[in-house]
Amino acid sequence: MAFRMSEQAYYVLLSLAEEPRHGYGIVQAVKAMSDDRVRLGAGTLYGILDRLVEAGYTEASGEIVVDGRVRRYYRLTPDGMAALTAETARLTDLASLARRVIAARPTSRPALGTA
Amino acid sequence: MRSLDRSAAFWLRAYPPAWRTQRADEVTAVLVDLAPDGARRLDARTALGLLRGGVATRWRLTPPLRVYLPYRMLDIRVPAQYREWVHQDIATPGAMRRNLTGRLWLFAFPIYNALTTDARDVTLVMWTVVGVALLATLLCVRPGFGVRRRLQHHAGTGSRVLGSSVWVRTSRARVSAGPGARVLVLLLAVGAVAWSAAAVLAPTRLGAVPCDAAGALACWETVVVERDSAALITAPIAAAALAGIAIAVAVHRRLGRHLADRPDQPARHLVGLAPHAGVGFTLWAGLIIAEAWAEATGAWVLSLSAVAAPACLLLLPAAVVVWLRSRTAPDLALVDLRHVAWTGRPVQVDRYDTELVPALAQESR
Repeated sequence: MAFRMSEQAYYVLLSLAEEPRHGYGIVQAVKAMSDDRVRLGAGTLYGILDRLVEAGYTEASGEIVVDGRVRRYYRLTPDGMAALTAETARLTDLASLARRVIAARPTSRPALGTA
Repeated sequence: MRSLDRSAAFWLRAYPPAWRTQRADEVTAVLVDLAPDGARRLDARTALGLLRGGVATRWRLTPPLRVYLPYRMLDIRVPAQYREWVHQDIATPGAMRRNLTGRLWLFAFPIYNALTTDARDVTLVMWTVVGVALLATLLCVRPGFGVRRRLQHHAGTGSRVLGSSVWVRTSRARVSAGPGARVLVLLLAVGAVAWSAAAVLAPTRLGAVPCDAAGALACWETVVVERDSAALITAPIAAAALAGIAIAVAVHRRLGRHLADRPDQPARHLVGLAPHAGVGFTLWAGLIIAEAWAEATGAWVLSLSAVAAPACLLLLPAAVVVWLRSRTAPDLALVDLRHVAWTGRPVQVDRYDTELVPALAQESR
């Protein structure tokens, strides 16, 4: 099944592109990258991670125990990096298109329906 | 365990058991890190997120209905991509409940019939007997045995690796001859005594009468009639007992001929009866006695005991011979004695069994 790249999944891939992170690290990184706009809950995060692992975009890279609690680290795979690059290119093209459309818009025009 | 951990464990139950086995500790650590200091339980937003994630995970990991229903209702094998799911379905706690629940539809029509027809009481008693017999049989089977055979059927197809598990060769478990033969003798003895007594004492029997007064040969009706003579049943019972002794002599000779020089069994280990087999066999003995009692008192017409009594008497002497032989050779399996007694051929060498184990456990061996 094709992977559906949501904004949250994109942020998770982006956070893992910097370095391998554990679950809490990913949440913090996404929060920082989105200027506190995207706050991932555990349910959402692990739903995304499950789908990313299943698609072969990320993989577990090891685990450590801190204060008696397991922290499993995830890292991006080459396929994940390729997907991130492709999605970034798509967003860049979209942004370019949006800029062109906005720039071409006349600064003032008569409202429709007025005589 | 802290109360926050308990709260996390509660909400994580939304996820499938196999998923929890792998991820619960990790997710709990994240939930604890995300929770405010001093929190004693998860907040509503987090709990709802887990609930939604758990349902989505269950949905994502479960095969589509066109695959799920044939597997659940008819035990049909699933395509290769769902074998890991089947592995988890069979090998995780609750497998028997899921398996039986999936087959409830088999009983839907008979139970509906039982509740709506005139013979409601009789049908309910019959289904109760079937239920007790099923329970007794399940208690006699080792839990791991059924799991292994189902895994081999559903997930053992050529590939050595299945998800994070691998198939390994392992020795075959066989029930020791001593305990197995002892139980066989006890059940046959109970059946022989109870059903023979019922066959002799039963006050009623089945009879056939013509449908109409003219006595047309094409139409006969089965009715319950008074028992006139016991000779018709005592003669087959006596004949079965004599034939049973002749069979026992033949079995004794076969065992003497083939068990003296039996092969080594490197691919085998002997096990006792299942942990709750005693309860299972007691239930079976109770069912036999109850059925025989019903026929002997006329609550039920003479039927099963007319066949079961000769059958038990036919097999009982041979079973006693097998049991006596098992006492002199504790390294024998019940299957060896049965094979030699039944076929008259030498003991066969067991082949290795296969077992699915976690890959990490295999690496550490």
